[in-house]
Formats: sequence, structure tokens, C-alpha cells
Amino acid sequence: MQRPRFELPEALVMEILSKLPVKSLTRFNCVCKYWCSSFQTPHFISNNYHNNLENNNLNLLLSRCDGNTFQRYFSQLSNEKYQNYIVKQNIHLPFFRNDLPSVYGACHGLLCLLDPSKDKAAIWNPSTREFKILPPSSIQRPPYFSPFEETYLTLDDVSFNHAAFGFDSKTDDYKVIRFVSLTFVNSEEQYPHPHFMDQVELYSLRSNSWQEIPCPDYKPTGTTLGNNYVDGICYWKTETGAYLDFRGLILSFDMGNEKFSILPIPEFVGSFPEYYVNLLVFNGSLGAIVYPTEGIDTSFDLWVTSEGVWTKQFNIKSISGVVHPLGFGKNGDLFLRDTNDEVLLFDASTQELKELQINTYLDHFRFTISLHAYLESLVRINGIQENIEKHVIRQPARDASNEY
Amino acid sequence: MGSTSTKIKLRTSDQKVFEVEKAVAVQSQTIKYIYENGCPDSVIHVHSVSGDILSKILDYCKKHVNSAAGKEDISPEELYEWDANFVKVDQNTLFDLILAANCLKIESLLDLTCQTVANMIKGKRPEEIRTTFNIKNDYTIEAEEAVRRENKWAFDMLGGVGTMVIEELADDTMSKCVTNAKSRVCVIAANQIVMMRSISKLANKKSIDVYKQPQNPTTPRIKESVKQINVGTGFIELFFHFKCKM
Repeated sequence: MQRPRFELPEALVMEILSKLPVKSLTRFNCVCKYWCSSFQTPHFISNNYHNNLENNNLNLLLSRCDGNTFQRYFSQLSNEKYQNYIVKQNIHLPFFRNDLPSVYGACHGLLCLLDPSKDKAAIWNPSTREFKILPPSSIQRPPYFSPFEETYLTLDDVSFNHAAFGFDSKTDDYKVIRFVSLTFVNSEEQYPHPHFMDQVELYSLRSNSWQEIPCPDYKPTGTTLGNNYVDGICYWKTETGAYLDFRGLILSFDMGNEKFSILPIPEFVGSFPEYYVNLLVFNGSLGAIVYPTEGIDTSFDLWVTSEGVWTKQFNIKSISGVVHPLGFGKNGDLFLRDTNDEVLLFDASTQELKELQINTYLDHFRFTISLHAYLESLVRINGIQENIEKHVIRQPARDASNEY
Repeated sequence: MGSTSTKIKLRTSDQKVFEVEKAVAVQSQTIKYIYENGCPDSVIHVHSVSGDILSKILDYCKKHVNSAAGKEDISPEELYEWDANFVKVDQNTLFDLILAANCLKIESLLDLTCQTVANMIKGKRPEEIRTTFNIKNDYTIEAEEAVRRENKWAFDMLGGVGTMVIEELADDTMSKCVTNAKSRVCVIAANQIVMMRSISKLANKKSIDVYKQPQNPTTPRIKESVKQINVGTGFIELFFHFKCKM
């Protein structure tokens, strides 16, 4: 490009720059000091994110478990459909070492990684490669007195199986909400009967600390496909009643006023146990994929809720050999897991089922493979670069071409 | 049919007059505002836009109005292609279009033209960007190197027409190079330079053999030809072509 006849005014240059990918902007930090500081302003960050949202620049991460090392890692899939979503690079997380972290989000391009078995968590911006380790929560675990055994019980196990990550627009703050399951036993007994209790912890990025909040009556029992946060609210599946009186419910948490609510799940097609209902976020709303538990040919219904009303968006007819959905990619393409635990793609435009060349046959725990999508963003989280403590390590896949 | 369509007269900076249908002209929020708040019969002056540029812009507005109103049978994909061809102009015209779209407040055109420039510059090096936007580098050499080092990952490129900013390597990596039989070889693996001759020795060379080693060690190395070597302060840039395998 040649030297221009004239200069564009600053505001227009920034308008152009806000449409660039994060990698280019990171490289252009050294163009001049003014640009470097402009890229860090909330206004620019917000414009850039808005552009990514408009263009739906979704990045896809497949969360898998290495067959040799038993470590969780991510395969970042190519954005290009014509490349059949091949693996571009593999992202390893030495920070979590021997544990399998759960992934929450994305929210504004940020992901939250949480260890379900210990108090270890991080917030991660994969676009800017910023990694923030959360401090441990110093919240006291309550004592448990068993009136029957007339003694205080010992805390035997603490686990963090359900959480969510989202944004509070009122305070411009990112928050992590985490359910803590406590198991108490009578240590004097040889085969002690476990007693359970729950706590809820809330982390704020602004204060960089955890606080305890009151526990709701219903606890989450199920996971969502990918992201469980949308538009200021987090969602989990929960349930009530015994087997025959079973009712599925949705537990929601408002990040702004920090309150829990319960929503019913309508009986879409039929009821549990004949149908699975997987919650997910679809096109900016809470949705559900409903599909039968039995049968060779599975047909998937996508329902979406808006202001309490559920409407069926579309139906994907009879796909044979498929077991579970993993989530949507771009343009309504649906990723699926088949009976052999292979990852398949249902192409929305051609209505065809395609095999992806993601060789998962060497993976471990193949039934735990999950799909996560994030938009590129410049949002800063007071973390450190991935490569500094080698918390995150990236490996390009063979024959992958690097992008600008 | 002619009597039902209102026309608006526009006069450009170079005194050209255009008579356009109101529906087309009011794609510009500026013109719309002036028309609705001024005298409807008088000529509207668009001072900062030349005749050539306004002519192009009116083509754009007309195409989009007709397609939205269903007057033209054109699919979204075809309109997208039309837009892509519309912006295939020289850089000065493109910048003129951006300024005019901004001044006339035609949001979709501003988005289109800005995105076009963004796509043109996204793979460029910082030096080229400074030229394009006429920017003075106000970093000291040390400060700029520090920023480059901090953001090193954003400079990694492989595939296509590539340039790599390579940092000076420590002496122990140099010794691996010397033991290699071919004395003028530098091996690049994945995204990193594994070994290389010292900067001063490279600077004297007119050409250099560069080998790319695929991750599978049994696959033979691919030889790339280096077109040009530039030596800067503390870094070297190699310009070479890769065939990009999709």
C-alpha cells in the first residue's frame, strides 16, 4: 500500500482498526504509542467486540482428554467451513496439570476454567492470550452437627461441580458463581454414612475475591452444552420429585442483583425419561435441544425461549448412529457425538452429516468431549501472558496454515 | 410513474449537479436531515464530496435501495458480491469513499469501506502500516523492541507470503548450525526458528536456503526460496513464499 494523498482523520482510522482481528491489533501495538493506548480504552474494546459479534467471528474449541497423559486440552478448530473444521492448533493447560478443568463461558470472549475437585480456577482470554489465576476462596466451611449421631462430623470432601461465568453490566464486572458440595462423615465409624451440604461462592474480578451467598433450595443437577450464561443470567438444569413425579426445572442466577429463580421446563415433545433436554445458548437466547433417548434414528428439535415463551426454532430429522449433540458452530452447523464417540458435523446448509478429521480414537474419556465457542475480544482481565509461567501451551497442528 | 418519485438535486465540491430519486438520496442521513429541515426544492450542497465520488456513492445507494425494495431480483449473496466488486478500487479512491460515507452518514457504506481497508492491512507489518496511515513512530528503539517482545506471538507467521521477525539467538543454538554439513542452512520448525547463522554473517549473503521441517520426521524437508533479506536493529526479516496447503 502506498503513502496516501492525505491522512484520514483519527476517528476514522480507529473505526477501521476496530474491525481488525486481535492478532493484528496486538502486532500494531508497536506502530505508535497513541495506537497502543487507544487499543486499551473501553470504547475501542467495546467497538471491536461489537464488530466481532456482528460478523459472528466464532472460534471453536473442542475440549478433550489426552489418551496418554490423561490431561485435558483443547483443539482449536478452523473457522473455515470449507476446511471441514480441521484442527488448527492444540492448546494444553499445564496450570491444571493432572486435573480435568470444566469450562464455563464464553462471556465477551472470556472463558472460565474451574477445577471440579479443588479450589483452583482461572479466567482466560484466548484471543489476547491473557491468563488470570483466581485466588483461593477463603470462605469457611461450616461445621456439621449430626443430631442422630450426636457429634460433629468431619469434612471429608469438597467439590465444585457446577458453576457459571458471566458479566454484571451494572457494575461492569465479571463474576464467577460456584456451587460447593461438602461431604461430611463420622470419622469414627468404619463405614460412615455421608452427609451432604452445599454452599455458593461468588467471585468478582473487580474485587478479586470470593464471597459467600445464600444457597438456593434447588441445586444444579445437570450441565449445559457449552455456555450457560446469556444476557446477564446464568442457567443450570435442576429437578424435583421422584422418578414417577419427575419434573425438570431451570435454576437461574441474575449476575446483577445476585438472586436465584426457578423456571419450569415445558414438556416439549414428551417427558423424561423418553427425551433428553440439553440446555444451551443459541443466537443470544436460552435454548434447549430435545431428542429421544431411545431409537436408532435421532431427530433433534431446537427450542428457544424469549420472555418465558418457548418456541420451536427448527427440527433436524433422523440422523442415524448419532448419540448426543455437542453444540452449534457457525451458521447453524450442529456438532454431534456418535455411538463410536467420534465427532460428526451436521451441515445446516446441505443437510448432510459429515465426518470431521478430528481423530479422537486415541483420546481418553471420549464421552466427556465438549464444544466451546468464543468470540474474539480485547477485554483485559489483569492476568499475565500465557507463555510467562507456561500456564497455557499452544502447539500448531500439522499442515495448519497460520492466519494473520 | 415519473410523477410519483420525488427528486433531490445535489451539488458537489467541483460544481457538478446530480438529480437523484429521494429514496436513494436519503440513504445518506446527512442529506435526509437537510432535506427534511430545509427547503425541499433547493439544491443541497455536498461540499466535501467530488463528482466522481458522489457518482459512485449514488450507484451504491441505488443498488441497495432497489434490492431492499424488491425492485431488483438480487439475492443476498449476489448483493454481497456486488459490494465486494464495488470496493475494488485504488487506495486513494477507497479513502475518499470512507471520508464521503462518513460525512454523508451512510452507515452500511462506511462499514463496508472500513472493513475493506481492515482486510487489506490485517496481515501487514507495523512499518507498512505507518506508511499507509502516515504515522510517525514515537517509540524509542528500546521501547519498540520491548513492545515487540511482549507481543511476540502476534508476529509468528507461517504459510502464504510470509515475513518473520527473528530475534538474535544465543550462542549455544549457533553451535548446532555449525555441525550441520550444509553450512548455509537455517531450519525452521513449526513456528520457531531452531537455528540460524549470526545476523552479521547472514547480512552478507545474497541468498539463503531455508528448509521447513514438517512435524512428521519421516516426511522430507521442504525447501523454500528466500527472496530478500533485511537486517534491522536486533532483528532480521526473511521474505519468502510458501505454498499454502488447505
